[in-house]
Amino acid sequence: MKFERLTDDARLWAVVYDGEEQNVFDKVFDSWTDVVWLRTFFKNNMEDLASYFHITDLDVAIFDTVDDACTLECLMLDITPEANLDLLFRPLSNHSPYNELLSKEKAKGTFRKHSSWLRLYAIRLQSGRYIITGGAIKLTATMEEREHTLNELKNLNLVRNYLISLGIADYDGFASYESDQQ
Amino acid sequence: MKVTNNDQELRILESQEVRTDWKERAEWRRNNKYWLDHSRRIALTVLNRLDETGMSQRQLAERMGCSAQNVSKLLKGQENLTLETIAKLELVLGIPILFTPVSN
Repeated sequence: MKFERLTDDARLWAVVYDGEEQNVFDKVFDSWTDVVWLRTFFKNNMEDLASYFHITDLDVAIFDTVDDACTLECLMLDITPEANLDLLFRPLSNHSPYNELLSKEKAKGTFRKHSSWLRLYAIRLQSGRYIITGGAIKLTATMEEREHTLNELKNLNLVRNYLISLGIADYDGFASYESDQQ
Repeated sequence: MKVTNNDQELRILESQEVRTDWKERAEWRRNNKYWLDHSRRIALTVLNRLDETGMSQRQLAERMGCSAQNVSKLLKGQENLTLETIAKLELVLGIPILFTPVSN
C-alpha cells in the first residue's frame, strides 16, 4: 500500500492499494465520469435507485452522477492552503471513527430533487491530514447494506490497520464533505 | 490510541510520491464539460440502441469499419466525435443522433 500526496501542502493524500496503478482518488473520478461504468453500476442497482431516490430512468441517474462528480472534483481542485478540511469532511456516524466527504449540492439549472449520492471516504490524522481511502455511489441508508459500500468500510479498516502498523495511529475518522455546509 | 509524533508521521508520509496530475485531468474535465456532456449523451444513445437491437460492440465496430478499441473509447463518452463518425453511427444504428425528433 502506498500513499500519494494530492496537494502541495500535504494535507490531502490518496491510497494506492496493492496491485493497483492508480490512486483511489483518480480511480473514483474516472469511474464517476465514465458512461459505460456508470451504466453498468446503475443497471445493477436499479432497485435501490427506485426505492430510495424514486428514479427509474437510467440516463437521469448517469447524468446526475456526472454532474455531481464534476462539482465535487472542482471543489477538490479549488481547495486553497487556507481552506479548513475539517469543514469539508465529517464523521461517518456518531460512533464511527471514520469520516466521509459527500456532496449534497443540487445542480444549478436542473430540476433534480435528490441530494448527491457520491461519497469520498478518508481517514483523518491528528495533524489534520486526510488520507482518501476510496469512494462510492451510496444509494442506501447505511454502508453495510450493499457490498460495494461495505468494501469501502473494509478499506477504511485496512488503511487504519496499516497506519497503525507504521506507527501512525493518531487518526480521527473518515471525512465526508457536504457542499451544503459551504 | 496515540503512538507517534508528527515528525515520524511526516517522515513516513512525505517519502511518498507527489501526484498532482489529477489536477490536470480535473481541469481538463472542467474546461471541456460543455462538449463532454454532448459526447456522453451520444454514448448513452448508442449504448441504449445496442441494447435494443442486441448488437454487440464488436459488431458495431465491424459495421463502422473501425477497431473495437475505438468503439470502446467512443462509448466512454469522452471523445470529441467528428460529424462523420456521428453520421456513420446514425446509419449503422438506424437512429437519429445529431438531430432528434421533437415531439409535439
